[in-house]
Amino acid sequence: MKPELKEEINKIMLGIPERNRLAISSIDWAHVTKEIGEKYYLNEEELDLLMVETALVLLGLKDYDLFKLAIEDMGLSQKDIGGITKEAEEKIFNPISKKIIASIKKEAELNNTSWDKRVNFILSGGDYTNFIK
Amino acid sequence: MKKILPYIFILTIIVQLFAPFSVNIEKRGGVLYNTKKAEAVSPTNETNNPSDPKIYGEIEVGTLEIGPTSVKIPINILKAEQSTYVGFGNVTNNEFSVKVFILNEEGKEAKRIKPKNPLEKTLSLVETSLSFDFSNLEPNTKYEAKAALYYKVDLRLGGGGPQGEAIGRLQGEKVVSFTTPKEGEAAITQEVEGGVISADGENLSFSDDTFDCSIGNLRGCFAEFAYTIIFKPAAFLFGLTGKALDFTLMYSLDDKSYRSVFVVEGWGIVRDICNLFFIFILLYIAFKVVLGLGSGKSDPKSLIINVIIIGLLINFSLFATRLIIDASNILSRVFYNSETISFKSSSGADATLGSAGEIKFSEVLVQKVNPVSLLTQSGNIGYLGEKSENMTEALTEAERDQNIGSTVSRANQVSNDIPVGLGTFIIICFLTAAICIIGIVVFFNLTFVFIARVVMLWLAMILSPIAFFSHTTPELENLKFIGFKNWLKETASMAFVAPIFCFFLYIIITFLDSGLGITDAYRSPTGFEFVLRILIPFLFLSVLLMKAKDIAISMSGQAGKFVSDMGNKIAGTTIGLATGGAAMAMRGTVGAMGARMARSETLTNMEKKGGFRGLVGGTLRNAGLKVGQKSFDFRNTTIGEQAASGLGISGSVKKTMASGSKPGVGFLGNQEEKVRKVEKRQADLDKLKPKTENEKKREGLDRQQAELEVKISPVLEQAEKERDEAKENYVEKKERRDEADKKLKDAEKELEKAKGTASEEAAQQKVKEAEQVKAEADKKLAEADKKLETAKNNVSDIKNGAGAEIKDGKIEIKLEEGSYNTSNKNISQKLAEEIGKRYEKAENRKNSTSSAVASIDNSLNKAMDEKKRLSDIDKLKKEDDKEVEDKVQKVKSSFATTIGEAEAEKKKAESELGRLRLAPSLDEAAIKQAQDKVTQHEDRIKKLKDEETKTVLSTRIEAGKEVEEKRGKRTEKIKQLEGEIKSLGDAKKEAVAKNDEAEKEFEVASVNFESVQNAKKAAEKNGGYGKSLSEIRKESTSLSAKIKQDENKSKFARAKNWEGSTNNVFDYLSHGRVSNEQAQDQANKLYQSINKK
Repeated sequence: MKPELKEEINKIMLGIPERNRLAISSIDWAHVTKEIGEKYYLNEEELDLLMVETALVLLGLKDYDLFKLAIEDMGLSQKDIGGITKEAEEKIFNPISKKIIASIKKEAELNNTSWDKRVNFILSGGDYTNFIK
Repeated sequence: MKKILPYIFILTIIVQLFAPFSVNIEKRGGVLYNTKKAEAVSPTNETNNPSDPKIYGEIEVGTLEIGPTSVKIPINILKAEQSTYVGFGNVTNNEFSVKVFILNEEGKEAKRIKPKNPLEKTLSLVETSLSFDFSNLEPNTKYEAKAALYYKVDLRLGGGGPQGEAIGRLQGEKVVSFTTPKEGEAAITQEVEGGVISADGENLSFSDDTFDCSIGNLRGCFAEFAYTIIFKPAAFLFGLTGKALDFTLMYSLDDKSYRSVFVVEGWGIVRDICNLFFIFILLYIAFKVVLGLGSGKSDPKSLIINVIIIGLLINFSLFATRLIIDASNILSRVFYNSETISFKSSSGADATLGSAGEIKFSEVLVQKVNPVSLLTQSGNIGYLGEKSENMTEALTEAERDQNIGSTVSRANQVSNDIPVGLGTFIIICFLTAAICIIGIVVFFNLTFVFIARVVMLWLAMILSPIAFFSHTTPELENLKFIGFKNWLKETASMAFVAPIFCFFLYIIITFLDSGLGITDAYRSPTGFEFVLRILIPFLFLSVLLMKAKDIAISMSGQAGKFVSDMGNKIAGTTIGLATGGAAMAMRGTVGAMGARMARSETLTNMEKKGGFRGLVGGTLRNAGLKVGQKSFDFRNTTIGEQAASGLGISGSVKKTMASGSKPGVGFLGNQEEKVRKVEKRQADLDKLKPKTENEKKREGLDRQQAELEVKISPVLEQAEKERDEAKENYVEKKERRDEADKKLKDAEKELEKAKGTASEEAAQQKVKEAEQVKAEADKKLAEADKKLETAKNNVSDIKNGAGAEIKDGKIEIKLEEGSYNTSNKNISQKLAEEIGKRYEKAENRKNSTSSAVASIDNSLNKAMDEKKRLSDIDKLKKEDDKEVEDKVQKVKSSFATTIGEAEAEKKKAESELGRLRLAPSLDEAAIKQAQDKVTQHEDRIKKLKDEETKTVLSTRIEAGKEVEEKRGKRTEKIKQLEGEIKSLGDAKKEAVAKNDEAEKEFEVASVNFESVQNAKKAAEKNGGYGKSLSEIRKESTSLSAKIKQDENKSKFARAKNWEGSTNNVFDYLSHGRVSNEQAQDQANKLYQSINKK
């Protein structure tokens, strides 16, 4: 990862909720992204772009569907696009999102939540974000 | 334990499926005997095999001791023994037991009555008496005690070791009634009369456990399943349809069927109404007579005769119809009677007629080929089978269910002790079910034909007065069905369906009686020969019946066709239900199990771990998934489909048969189907909701995207092909470079080792060579990399709309390197501009060619007019003559003036002369002078006149010459004009052709222009105008995200979705954290950090 990119990512990271930050940091996603890119013979420029797109999704700055489009814009074959997005989902996005969800649930369990939050939680049909501070 | 259980279960299934037989297998003398449990066969009248082992038992119920709440029942064992070894089988290690039950007054087993002693006792052979004590009885209540002797013996075959056990109850039980004394009263005793029960010589027959479904015998469950779910419903429906056919055929041919009260009453009502209408007909005829209308058939006189005749005949219309029906039924009875169609029961008695008096025609047909004997005599099929008495017993039940082919006696079945294997049995179940299904379709079709016959004939009878009435007026005669002509045709064809069909039936039975030479060749059929011997005649029978039905229906007109279709539909639905039910059961059980296996977390973890466990886990999950996805539906198989077609079930009818069947769905598919249904319902509900602006915009963009994709697809495909080739090349080059790199490293290592040795130089040489090879590989890799990058850029650029050019109204995207740096992203706009230009150009050209044509046309007209004028000789001659005359007149008039003056002077002179002569004094000189003057004048006048004549003549000559000259010029002019006209004509043709072409071009350009304008308008409206594919997709995706966010504003929706996908988690959690602008700004910073916009 380019130092400038790393620096920018770190800056934005400071602004996101702690649970997200911890979840993202729990996986060396940059390394995994590089591995995925190399597996599909991406050149250096494309690797950088893949890393930025991954970071954008993780940091919640870009829609995941747009991530797919950005990969498509690299001019790769559908097979490669499918492979990259699938692996990115399996190895990066899904594990991190699971961790985030787990941490929200844990927060909800640990916090002495007020009755209205509980009522909202029930009325929403199980939306844990009601417990987010 | 919970986790281990499924594995044990799966292993058990595998063992059961793949082991040749069960674990108790013993192979001797080429014959396999599977001896597990045996059951005592209830004594029957049939002949038992004398060599079978026998059981003898005798018990006596002693004196009962009855208290208010208890009873003591003594049992004496008089005999309990088995036969000795008798050749085929033997029994040893006997265990006899006595069971005693107490039932209350209602015959139900008394509740909560438990004996103090065990309910049953195992006896050794030396024991002779037992006592059963019951307590907790109700005082003053009537009870029944039942006692019976049970046995459990080991079975041995041919002196070998024990191969199984037989458990059963000997026939006969002793029932003793007693009443408990009132509460507080003393106990009483009760003698039992005839307390001895004995059951001597009961046979023990060996049977397999094919139908014994238990945990220890899953094979039995498979057999039970195949028999109960696949064969039994089909056989039951087969029997039912056969019965239905017998009954409907009998009913259709029975005279009583057509003498129902409702028919006569209905006919009476219709007749009375028709009689009323005669008045109107007479009025109608009256008007015709008054107005003098009608001739030929419509002649009022003929009509009146008709009305009178029909007015009389209408009262006999029912009789006439019955005459037709009776004639057809009598004719049918020639072939359909108990003489030609006879049916003998197993005992040889005549059983042709059923309980309702119907001829068991279907049974006769099936008896000839008896498809069920495939099952009942299934031992004939496979020599690798087992003895199967239980199976035949079960099949007797099947035969009873369907009541077809019951001629196979039990004795035959029992003696048919060649066994059959499980696999063969299941195949036979399928085969027999398939045959039954064919039979169902055939019988159903025929049933409906005859039901329709009855109904149609009823209607024909009821409506016969209208039909007769319609004969009065030619206008009514051709009405559909009720018009006389059509009614007669329909009635006759429907009535004569029966004799035609019965004739074919007779032929078929005669044919089946004579047998089929082909199958007779198999004298002692076994295996396939046995199957063919039954299958082939049955197929012959089915085809013959279907053909007979087709011929009968084709002769019975539209009504027949309708009912035939209906029969097909119902048959299809029935089969659908029969096979679909089995499929549903399979999906719900085996399919569900498969799906659970596929989802199993344990198996997934095993698969993840890899190795042998991983392989097992993966394989099991795959198998589970496949099983879960299976529909288990015969109808979805190729054979199923072809069978449906072969039976004439096609099109919409086939759909009916297949209703409820979803191709390749399985259990997982069913679950998905449920979800799909819910989603579809939700989607339907969503449709009712007004669309948001974003949704509308997205829809527009999606349309634009689809259009654009079509437009650029040829070029994009080409570019993608080149990209893929470039990638292949790159991968190949990279592999070579890596190889070269490896070799270089190896060479360097060798050099390290060889330093200071004799081989150092050689090693150095190797390193150099390797370096060269690597350098070459690097170079090639760099080239391949560049090519791949270019190819990728090409694809990307095309999607981004760059490099697009419009040539001849078509989009062309140049693939040359470097042509993508242009920023032409506006394919739609470019196309619109080009089309616009072409439109203008075409319009100008069209205008220009049009004016050219007009100009040529004008000149041509002028020339033609001139030519016409010059060609008008008479008119021109007149003009010429006039011109000459004008000139002459001019000359004449000039002379006339001079002559006039001369004459005037002459007159003056003459007057002077006269005055002089009359003067009183004659002045001769003066007179002479005056005379001379007069003469002079006369001379002058004469001269003038002469000159005039000369001048006129010369003028005429001159003018004539001029006219001649003019005429010559005119002829020349005409010739010239003709040339001009010709050339103008040619020019006009050319100009017109050009104009036509221009107009066509203009027309095309107009259409294009219009469509482009429309497309432009649509694109502008949809927001995709002037945007590349990538831009449109990005915009559409962003809109989708916004829509999703809007939807997720609802707490319920959010709760449903937010955990659902990766995207939602990040998206949702970030949503609201930063504004869109901030997010864009942060994203831009990240892009800038890698120097990319």
